[in-house]
Amino acid sequence: MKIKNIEISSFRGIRYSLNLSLDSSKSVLIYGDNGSGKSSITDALEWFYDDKVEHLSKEEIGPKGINALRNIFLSDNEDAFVNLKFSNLRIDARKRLFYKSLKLSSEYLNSTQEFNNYISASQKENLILRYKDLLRFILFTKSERLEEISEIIGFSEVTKVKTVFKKAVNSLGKELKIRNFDSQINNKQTLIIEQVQQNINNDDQYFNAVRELITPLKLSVEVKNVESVDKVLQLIKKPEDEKAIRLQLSYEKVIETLGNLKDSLQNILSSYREYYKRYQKISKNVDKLKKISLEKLLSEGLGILEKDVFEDEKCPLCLQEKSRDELIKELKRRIEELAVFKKEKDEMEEGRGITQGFLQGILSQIEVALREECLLIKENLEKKNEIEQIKNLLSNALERLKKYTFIAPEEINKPEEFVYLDNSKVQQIVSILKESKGKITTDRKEDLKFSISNKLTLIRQSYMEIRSLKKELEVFKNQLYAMELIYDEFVKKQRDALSTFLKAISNDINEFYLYMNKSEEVDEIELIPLDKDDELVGVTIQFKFHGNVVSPPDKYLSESHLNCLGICLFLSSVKAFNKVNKFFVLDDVISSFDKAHRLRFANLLMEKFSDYQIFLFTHEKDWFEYVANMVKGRDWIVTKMILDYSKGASLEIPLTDFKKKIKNKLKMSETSEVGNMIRKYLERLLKEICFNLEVKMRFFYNDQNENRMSNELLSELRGELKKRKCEIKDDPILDRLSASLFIGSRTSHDSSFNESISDLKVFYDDVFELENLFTCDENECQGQISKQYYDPVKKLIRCKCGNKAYKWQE
Amino acid sequence: MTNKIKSGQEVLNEFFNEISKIEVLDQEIAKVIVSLYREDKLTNTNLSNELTRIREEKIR
Repeated sequence: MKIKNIEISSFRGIRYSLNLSLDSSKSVLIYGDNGSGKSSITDALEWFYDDKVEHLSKEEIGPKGINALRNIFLSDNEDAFVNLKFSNLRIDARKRLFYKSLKLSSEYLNSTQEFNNYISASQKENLILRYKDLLRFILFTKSERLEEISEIIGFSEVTKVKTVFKKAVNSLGKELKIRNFDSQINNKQTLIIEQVQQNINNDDQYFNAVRELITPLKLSVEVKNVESVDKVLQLIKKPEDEKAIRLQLSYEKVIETLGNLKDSLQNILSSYREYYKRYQKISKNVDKLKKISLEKLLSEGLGILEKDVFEDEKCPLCLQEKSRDELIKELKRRIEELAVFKKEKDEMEEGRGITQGFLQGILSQIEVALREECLLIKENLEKKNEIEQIKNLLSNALERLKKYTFIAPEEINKPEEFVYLDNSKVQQIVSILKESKGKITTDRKEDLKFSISNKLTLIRQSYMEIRSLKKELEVFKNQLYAMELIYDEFVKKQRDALSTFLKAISNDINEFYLYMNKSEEVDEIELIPLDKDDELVGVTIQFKFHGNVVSPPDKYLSESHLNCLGICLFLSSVKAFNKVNKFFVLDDVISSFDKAHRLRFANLLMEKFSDYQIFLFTHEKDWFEYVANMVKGRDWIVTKMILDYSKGASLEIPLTDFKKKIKNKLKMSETSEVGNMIRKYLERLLKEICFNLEVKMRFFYNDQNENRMSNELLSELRGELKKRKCEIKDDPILDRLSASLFIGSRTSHDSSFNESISDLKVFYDDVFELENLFTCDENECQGQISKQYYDPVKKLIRCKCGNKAYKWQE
Repeated sequence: MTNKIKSGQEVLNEFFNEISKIEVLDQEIAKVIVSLYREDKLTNTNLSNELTRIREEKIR
């Protein structure tokens, strides 16, 4: 998209209306002294697209700088507006800034979806660069640079998805640890060994063990699968044995739970120690602690602002006026500062979560065990009480752990005080329960069927549980593996995309920088992604300086070179990011450059960005002249900003438009002002001719040079033509104009001399003839003859295409 | 790695279009993740719930 017309009214320094017609989306070069109003155009464009002007968004001015946008002479019932016409006329739009119920409001007068889409897409592009923003990206922190790039290329969504995957991996790993499958399986294997004196790890071993166990019974059932084992059990189980076997299993459940207690306690204490260590580290740093406490508040606030719950341009907490965008930006910055602390806190909380998980796991096992039949027997009530005490001990620890905060760090238990469980006491309970369990079989030692049935039930139960646990473990491990795989692939994809992007943009930055800084000791400028613990944490700017790879640029480069790097970054980002708009604005960006760099910068723009529409604003006279000369014959409009304190900022009318106006006035026989217009036109034409032919003039200080009179310019021009023995030195038009009454003196601009329309037509024809004498009439060229195209061999001074040429003695 | 500069959205679309091609990946998990992404429901809770559901179905 390119801009075809800009109309700005009553905006900033523009008091009335400023109209810039860009015909077929021409580029523009505007010269203007500081304060002449160039930046009013930049401000108007920034406001049109972003609904704010960054450099005016200050506390004293108000949110988005909106209170500083309307021209101060504008009355409250009038609109300030920016009207843009584009290469696609469907998105032409006027944006007005007006008072509504004493409050400043703005609106676009194009409400189509196409226009809304265009504006949202444009907001993500880099369209404007001002001098003060040159160093912004360079002086960013590494993480700010990553954030800026991520934001522009939409990587924040990628980061969100990555976080979801990472959390899934962590949570599966945590659950796997808490479930402690290996310990559970080992305890069940112990029980099996007690019954059949061997491990059972698979179905074959299981069936073999069953076959061996039932051999003395000489059953006709063939043990070949799980169902046949069940059939055997049905065959040998007597109804009167059922209660005894059930009781046996009940004892085994409780004994197994108490057996798991030892491992669980070890896990609880080891995870608690980690948690305690991290808690102590954080709690000792009061500042860190305070900041961490704020993190939650800041994140909540950010969430509210981002979800548009609170739409006013105020802080939702203190209700002070503040730009919403700025507030979001500030919150993000502060939250990012806290990211390191938050990571430490998150790790600590993860430790707490794991300890809680271990505690909850063993507690639910104990609760199930307490409901077991064997503990309901009168003789075991004491043991039940003791187990309940263990449960209470663990429950208390869990409750304490849940309540730990940084407010009372003194209340947190040391690891040795957190849970103390006398293992010998647990063993004592286990021994007594085992003894009670043993009594069930002792009384029926001689009953072979009972003994085998009892053992078979126990190993069947344990092996089935082992099978189930192993299956669950396998599913868990497969899921964890799959999620780790997805996460790794995702990180790789993200890294590749970012590296490709950074490499591409680095190539452009390096190319542009070297173009402007030939033969200097800087090379291989690169944007490099930085990793920490597998995470992308920032982007650094690295380059070769006197052969050594160094970073950051502000440590090694001068201010002027840093500015140059800033321009290169901007131009590279224009090429990389700007997909919708094919224009950009450079507002006074070369102030710190020396002459050589300025010229190279102009060459760079013409050479590498010829397909872009460029808005180039400068207050550097020499550079303006250089670029003005360079863009002659190209699709550029060259003009100047004029500041009149009563009329505000306006644009000098371009010569071509000036000519059209004069012609129209002459055609309509309007004499008013036309004389002065022709004189001004002649003056500007002569200045251009003298500049191109390097006609030497008497030296004046500063702006006095601008006030040369036509007769002085014409006289010096004729002198130069004579000196160079140029064939047009005696052209009659030069004589006619020198003798013309109309060329007059400086005061003639305001003269009240009564000029007839026919006099003025004759005067204009003379001026036009003078212009033709020095200007090529080829459509492609239309440039003036210039010393720039001097042919020293043929001793000719020519226009750019060579069609118009005169003899010229150097 | 192609040399085309990709936007974040392009990176995501490309990843979720190719997720099933990741070698030795449980296709059921891949399917669930792609479906959550396409429905704009890829959050910690939703993914965790889906993984639990898949585990329970497999253990059953």
